[in-house]
Amino acid sequence: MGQFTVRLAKSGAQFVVESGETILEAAERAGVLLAFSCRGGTCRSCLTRVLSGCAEHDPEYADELNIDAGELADHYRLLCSALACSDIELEK
Amino acid sequence: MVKVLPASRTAHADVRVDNASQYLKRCYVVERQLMRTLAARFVDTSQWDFKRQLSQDMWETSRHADALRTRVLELRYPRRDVDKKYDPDMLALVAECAKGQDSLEFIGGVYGTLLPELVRAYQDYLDQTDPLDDAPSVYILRHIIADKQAQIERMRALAEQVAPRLFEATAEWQDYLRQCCAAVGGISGQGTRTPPPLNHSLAGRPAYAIGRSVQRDSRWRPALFHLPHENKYDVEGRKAWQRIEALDKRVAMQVWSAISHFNEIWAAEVVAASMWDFDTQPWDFYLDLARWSWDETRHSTMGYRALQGWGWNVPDLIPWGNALYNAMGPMPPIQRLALLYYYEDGLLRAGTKQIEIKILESAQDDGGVQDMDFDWADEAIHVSYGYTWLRHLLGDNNAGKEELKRLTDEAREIIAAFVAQHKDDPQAKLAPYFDRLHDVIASMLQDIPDDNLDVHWAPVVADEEVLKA
Repeated sequence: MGQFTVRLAKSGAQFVVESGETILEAAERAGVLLAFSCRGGTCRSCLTRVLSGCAEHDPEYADELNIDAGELADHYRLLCSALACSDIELEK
Repeated sequence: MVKVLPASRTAHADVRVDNASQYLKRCYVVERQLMRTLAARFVDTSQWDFKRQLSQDMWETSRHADALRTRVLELRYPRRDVDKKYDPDMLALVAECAKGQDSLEFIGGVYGTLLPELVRAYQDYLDQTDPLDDAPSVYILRHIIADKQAQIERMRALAEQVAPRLFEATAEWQDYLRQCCAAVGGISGQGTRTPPPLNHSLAGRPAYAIGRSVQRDSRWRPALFHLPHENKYDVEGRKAWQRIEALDKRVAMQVWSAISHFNEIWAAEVVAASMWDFDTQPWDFYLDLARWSWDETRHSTMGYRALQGWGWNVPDLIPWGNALYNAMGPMPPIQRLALLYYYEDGLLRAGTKQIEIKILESAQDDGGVQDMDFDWADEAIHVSYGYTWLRHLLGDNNAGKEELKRLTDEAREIIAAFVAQHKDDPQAKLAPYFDRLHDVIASMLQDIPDDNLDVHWAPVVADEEVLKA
């Protein structure tokens, strides 16, 4: 896996996410401020819908995240715990 | 020939695992019920210093209960029974303590009788048990005893300042509770049982019931709201606040943040009341809510500390509202919890805390930044608690989600109706507070040089544009 580009649909901001890096980490590194709090997938502050592309939660602790099956099916992801697997566009 | 070596050491014949678990379970029940009672009486207490101390002690009590419960389970106590089969004597004893007719009597009973009785029970256990065989219990009890003694000393010192004759004035109540305790053989259950004090002049009170509305400390003027965003009808209050903003937006942010923090006590009250209203939930529910409630009291104390730190007469200048708790009074407990979750979840999702920190950083308000930073971390935990326990209470399915939304929507309508109902109430008017505050701030700012910085500020409803600014 290499680098992917994340685009925020509402603001138009873009940043690059590296392999193994969460989307939130990449945003912080790029100076793009996104709402977050716990960085652990429990507070849901960073819950965001993925409009296009592929993002999956880190499988090491995916079972511990506060997100339900319906939200996952609707393409919501917790950005603090999600890894990009393609270029993606977020509902932000 | 059948022979045995003599015992290599003497040991108390009764110090066995089953006896230890029974003893500590009895103590756990007292701590658990004391925690819930402290939570409820915290809600009922208006005096600010007593109120925040009860909240802290409630949380510490939750830690004591948790440590005891964990140890009880380690001592072969059946997991299925640890939160059942509570000793009725212990339940009745704490229920009597809850009946103090006001906060002062309640405090006198708990800190003058119940806590010393608990300390005695823990000390008796330590005196009997073996420090090697039962080392984990010894470790726990030594720490609990130290905490309890500190709680007693703190409350006595506070009473000296706030209500100097509290313990003397409540001596009869303390004596009654002491007799109740002796009647069940003490908290250990191993003492000589004396006749129950049925004919005592203070016996026979009705069961305690938590208040559905709160009063604020009498040093403050009665107020419903604390900041202009709460009440859309208070046009004059909003204009008065805008005059403070006109002095300097960051100063307004600093003050807004402190007033908002101070008034977070309503959230502590909502959570504490839930600990009382729900009496059969899993242990972790109470442990989480105890932390949640104490955190909100800490945030309130952060605000108070900041306001005091500016040298202000807080009761004179700062409104301490009661509407947010009192408007929820008629709601069922789960609806109050749902509404609080809605508010806290919304604040975090909007990035409000992040924005406030950035603005406080720009103001070089190190204390304000530190307060807000730790507050932010706490709130993330609270939202997780809310998410977890509301799913537990309402169902971890679509029906549960829909019910949560219905409860929240209805609660918001109830709040809006409460605000409309009180729009002409003099206690809903904030302009007098903000006019006084404006003059105080303006006077302070005269000696502070202008740094020519400005900020983009949306204190309540943040958005992505603000986050990027």
